[in-house]
Amino acid sequence: MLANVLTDLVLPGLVAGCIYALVATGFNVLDISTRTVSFAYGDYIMWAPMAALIAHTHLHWPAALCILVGVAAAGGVALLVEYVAVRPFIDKPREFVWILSTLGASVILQRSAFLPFNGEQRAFPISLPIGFFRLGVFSFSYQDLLVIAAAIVVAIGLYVVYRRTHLGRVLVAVGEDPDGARALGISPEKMSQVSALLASVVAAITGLVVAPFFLVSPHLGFQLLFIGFAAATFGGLGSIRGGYIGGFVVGFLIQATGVYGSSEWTYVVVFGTLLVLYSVRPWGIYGVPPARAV
Amino acid sequence: MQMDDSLPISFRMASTGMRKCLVQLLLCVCSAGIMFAMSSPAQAQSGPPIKIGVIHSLTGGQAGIGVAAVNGAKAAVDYINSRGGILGRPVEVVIRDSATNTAQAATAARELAGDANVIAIFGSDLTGEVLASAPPISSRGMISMQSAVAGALYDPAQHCCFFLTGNTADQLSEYYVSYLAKNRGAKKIGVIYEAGAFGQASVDATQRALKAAGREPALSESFQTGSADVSANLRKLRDAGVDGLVIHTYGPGLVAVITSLQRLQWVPAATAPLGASAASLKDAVGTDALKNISAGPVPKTILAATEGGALSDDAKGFLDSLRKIVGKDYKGDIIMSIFTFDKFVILKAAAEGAKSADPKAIREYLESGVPVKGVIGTYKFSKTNHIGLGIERFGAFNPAFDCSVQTGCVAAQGALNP
Repeated sequence: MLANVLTDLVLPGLVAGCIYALVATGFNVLDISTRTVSFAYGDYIMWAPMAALIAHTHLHWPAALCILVGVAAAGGVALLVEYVAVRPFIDKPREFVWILSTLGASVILQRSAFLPFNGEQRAFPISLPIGFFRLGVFSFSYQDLLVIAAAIVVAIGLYVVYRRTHLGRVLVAVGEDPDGARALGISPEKMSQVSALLASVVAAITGLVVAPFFLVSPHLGFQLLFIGFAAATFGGLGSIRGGYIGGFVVGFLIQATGVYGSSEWTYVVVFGTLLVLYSVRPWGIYGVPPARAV
Repeated sequence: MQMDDSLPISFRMASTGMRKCLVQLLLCVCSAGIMFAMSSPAQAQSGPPIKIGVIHSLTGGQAGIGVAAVNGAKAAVDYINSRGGILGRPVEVVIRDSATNTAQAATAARELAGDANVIAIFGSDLTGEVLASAPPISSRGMISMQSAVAGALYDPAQHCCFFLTGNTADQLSEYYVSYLAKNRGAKKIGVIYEAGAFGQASVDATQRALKAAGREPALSESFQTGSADVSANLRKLRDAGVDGLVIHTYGPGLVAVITSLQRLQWVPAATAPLGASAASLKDAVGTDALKNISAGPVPKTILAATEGGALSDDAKGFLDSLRKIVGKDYKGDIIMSIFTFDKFVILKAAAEGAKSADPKAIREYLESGVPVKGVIGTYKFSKTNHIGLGIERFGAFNPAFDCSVQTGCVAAQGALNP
C-alpha cells in the first residue's frame, strides 16, 4: 500500500511539483522587483531550448555552447519584454496594462518561434540518455533526477542572491518602495532589468530541463504557464518559498486527481483548491497582504 | 519549293542561308515550346484565384496537428497550381488559426463563410472546433472536407456539405480492436488517453467496437495535458491484466506514455494514433521504445512496402510537394499533411468533373457516386454517405522505422490488413 502511494503519487508528484515550482519561481522573481507578472514568461522558458536547438541543428555547435546560446536567448527575450512591455508600467502596478502588454509580447514571441522549424514539435537532443535509476519498485528517469537537481540548485541560488547579497536586498527594496529606492539613488528601471535577467536564468534552466519531456515547440512554455502561475499565486506572489510550496501542492494535486480520481477533474480540483485558499488567504500561503493606505 | 535559278548566285546562297536560319529558328521555337509544354503541362492559369479557407490550430495545445495539416495545404496548393490549378484558375489558400479554441474556430469559419470568393473551408479536424464551425459553413452550402472523427458530421441530413477524407472514431476503433486482437493476440484491451473530447469519444468508440466484436469492455485511464509521467495510470491497466493497449494522444502526451511504459518495463501490444508518425517522437524516446508499438491507421499509399515496394506516383507527388514546403530534414508528422493534401486533390477532381467551381455543383458531383481519385485512395460518396473511404485503405507502420518526407512510411509487419 505504502509502496503504491510512493510510486504512484509521491515520486511523480515530486517531479511535477519541481517543474511547476520552477515556473512559479520565475514569476516570483519578476514580481519581487516590479510587482508585475509577465505572461510572456512561458516564452522565456520556450526560447532557451528553441535557441539551443537552432544552434545544434543548423549550426552544429557543441552541446555546451548550445546551452549557453539558450541561456543567452532567454536573457535577450527577457530584456526585450522588460523594455517594451514591463518597464513602462513598473511605477503603475495597479493599472494592470502590463497584463495585456506581456500577453501581446507572448503572442509575438510564440509566432516568431514558428520560423526556425515551421512550428513543428522537435525532440530536444541536448539531454541525458534515456534511462532509469531503479531501486526496487521505485524508478526515476535520469531526466527526473535532473529536474529535481535543477529545482534544488535554483532554490539555493536564489536564497543566496536574495539573502546574502547586496544586490538581492536592493531587488527586494525596489519592489517594496520604488520611490524610496529612487530617492536613495537606486534606479528601479535598472533593477527591473536585473530581475528580468535573473528570471531569464531560472526560465532557461526550466526550459532546458523540461524540454525532453514536452518536445520543443513554440507552445512549450504556454502549456506550463497557467498551472505555473496558479502555483505562484497558491504559494503567494513574490515569495520564492511560496512558489516552491505552491508548485508541490499543485503537482501533487494533479497527480492525486489523475491516480485516485479522473484526470477530467484535474483543473476543477486545482482551481477549486485555489479558490478555497483565496477565500481565507487571498494573498496565498506565503504572500504578504497589501498595506492599507490610511 | 524550288530555288529560283534566275536569282544571282550570291542571293541564292544568301537565300539558302536564310532558309537554314529560318528552319533553325523554327526548330528552336518548336523545341522550346515542347520543352515548356513538357516541363509545365498545364501551368497556364487565368482568371481570379479559387480561394479555399483552411482553419487549423497553429497555436495552443493541438498545434502539432494544425501545423502538419497546414503544411499539407501549402503542399497541395503547390501541387495543384503546378498542374494547371483548378479549372485553369490558380488556387489560393486562406489560412486562419483556431488557436485550439472552439470559439476562435467558429469566428474564423464565420469570417471565411462571409467571403464570397471562398468556395470551401477545410479543417480544423478537431471535433469540437468543427462542430462549432459547422453552422456558418453549412448555411452557405460551402464544401468542407474534414478529418475530424465525429461520425455525425458526415450525416448529410445534419450537415449538407461535410465530406470525410480520414476515418471516423468508429472506423478507427474497429481498426485498433481488430489489429490488437487478431494480429497481436491481445485478450484484454485497455485504453490510455489524454483527457478531452477526442479522448472520450475514442474510448466510447472503442467500447462499441469491442461490443460489436463480442469482447469484454476495455479498461480506460486518462491523463491531463502536460503530464510528464503517466506510469501510475498505466500500472492500473497492467495490474488489471491488460495485454493490448490503445494509446490516444499526440506529441508530448505520446512521449509521456511511451517513457512511462519504459519506466514500468511493461511491453504490451500497443497501437498509437497518427502522431506516432512524427520523427521527433523517435528522436525523443529512442527506437527501442517503439518496437512493440504500431501506429495508424495510415493510408496504405504512403506505406512503401504495401504498394509492391514502391510508392505510387501520386504519393511521390505528395512527398515532393511537401518537401518543397518543409525541407528534406522535416521531423514532423506527414500523415496529417496527407489527409489535408487529399482534400485539395479531391476538390480539384470534383470541380473539374463538375466543370464548375460552384460549391453546389461540386457537392452534386461528389454525391453522384462518381469515384474521385485522391492520393490516399479512390473516394466514393453518395447522397446519403459522405464517408469516402473504407478502413481497408489504411494500414499501420512501425514508428521505430522511418516515416519521413523522404521515404514515406514503412509498413509494420503483420499490420497491413487487420
